Amino acid sequence: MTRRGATVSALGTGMLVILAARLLVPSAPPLYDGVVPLEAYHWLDPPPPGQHGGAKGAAAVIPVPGGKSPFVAVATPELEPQAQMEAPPEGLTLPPGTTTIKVSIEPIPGEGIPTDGHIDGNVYRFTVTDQSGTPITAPASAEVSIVLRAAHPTLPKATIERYVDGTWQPSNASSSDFGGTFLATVTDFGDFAVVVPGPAPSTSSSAAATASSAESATAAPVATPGVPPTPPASNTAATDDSGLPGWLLPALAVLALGVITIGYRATRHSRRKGW
Amino acid sequence: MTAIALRPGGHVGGPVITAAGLGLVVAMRWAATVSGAADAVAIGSVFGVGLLAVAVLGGWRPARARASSLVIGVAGGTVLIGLAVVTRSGPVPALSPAASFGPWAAATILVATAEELVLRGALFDAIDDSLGVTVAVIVTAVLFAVMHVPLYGWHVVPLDLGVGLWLAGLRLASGGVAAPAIAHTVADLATWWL
Repeated sequence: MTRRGATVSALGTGMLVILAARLLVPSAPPLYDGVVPLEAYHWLDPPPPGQHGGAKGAAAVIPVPGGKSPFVAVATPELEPQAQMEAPPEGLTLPPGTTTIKVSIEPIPGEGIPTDGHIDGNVYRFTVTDQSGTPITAPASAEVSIVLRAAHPTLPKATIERYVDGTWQPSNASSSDFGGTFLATVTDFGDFAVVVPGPAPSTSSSAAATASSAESATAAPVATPGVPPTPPASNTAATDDSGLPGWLLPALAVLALGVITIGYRATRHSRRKGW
Repeated sequence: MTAIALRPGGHVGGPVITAAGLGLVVAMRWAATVSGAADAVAIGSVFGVGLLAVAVLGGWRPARARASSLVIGVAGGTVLIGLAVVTRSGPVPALSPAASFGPWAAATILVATAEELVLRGALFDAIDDSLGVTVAVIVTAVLFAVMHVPLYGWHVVPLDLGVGLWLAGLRLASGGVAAPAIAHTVADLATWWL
């Protein structure tokens, strides 16, 4: 292929792929990459000082064809949804005679305080019923999942907990991912929240916003969500909460330095090009 | 097959090592981010410096840019912004700045430019020399897409693959790395408002 042909092909194909990706993958970032400003976390009103309020819920009524539960996916309307629920086909245990599945996700004022950490973000109530309001459950094997976004996007570790019988209980099989989103497989629905190990940092409003009003009134000013407070000392110890050993970064740095030095020696005689 | 045949005098060791250096810098950025070592702007700035080092050690050297590169770069960036705007499916989200605009913009310019110096600069030239222009376009576009997976997830691959091809096209159209660097920077800076 000539350079002119490669130029035209790259520009044309690139534009078509961009268009297709933008239309078919709506959850992609606003633009492309770089140091992307994250969408603000929306707290249940009233928000902590300096934060965004207006947390929204989501609801859906899903027809049940042939008595088998269809694929169910409901999410709150933020660019990166703050709360989501997903069930694979036949993933829900339906009461006899179910014709529709009603799913509701609503931010609610939280009750109680976890004994193993603090809540980071809103408490969300997940309600899944049939048309008459009978609760719907899910077998563990179905791996029905809920996903919650934490208020602080770079949390190294957290779990999703469920409020049951007056206490916050860790859900099984919770896992974490970068971006402050956390997933848990569930068999029952109810009130869920992201719980971060340890006490709430002084710059965080997380538990305060969802716990008692007295605590909300005494909450300290919060950091900007995109710039989370410095992690507690336990997160930067030799083995931090994320499971990353403390020696990993220096080791990678040394390894990188070695590789690029070798690369420099291998390529220093090659033709140099500039802008 | 001609396009991927090793050219006389060419070698693939340089591109492979440059790509490995790129991978390590990306891995370090990811590790620093998930461990909460610092905020996004600080980590991005260090990441950008690391990329500059990879670019220089990979063979890129500063040189005077063509005047036409500025025009091509701005036009290319405007097209990227336009595509994002016309294909927007939802309302403009409420963005929470990761920092004040100045530091954020500086880090964004550094990262975008450094990524281009590595991919459409050192790596593109090395692959072009050894394996041909077609391979250079494809490999740099694929690497551009893959390098963003650790931070943004696999769902960004299609979009960044397309952007990588577009930036490679700008590289070829302008004859240098300035145009894709400008386009990339313009598009990334637009995320402040978009």
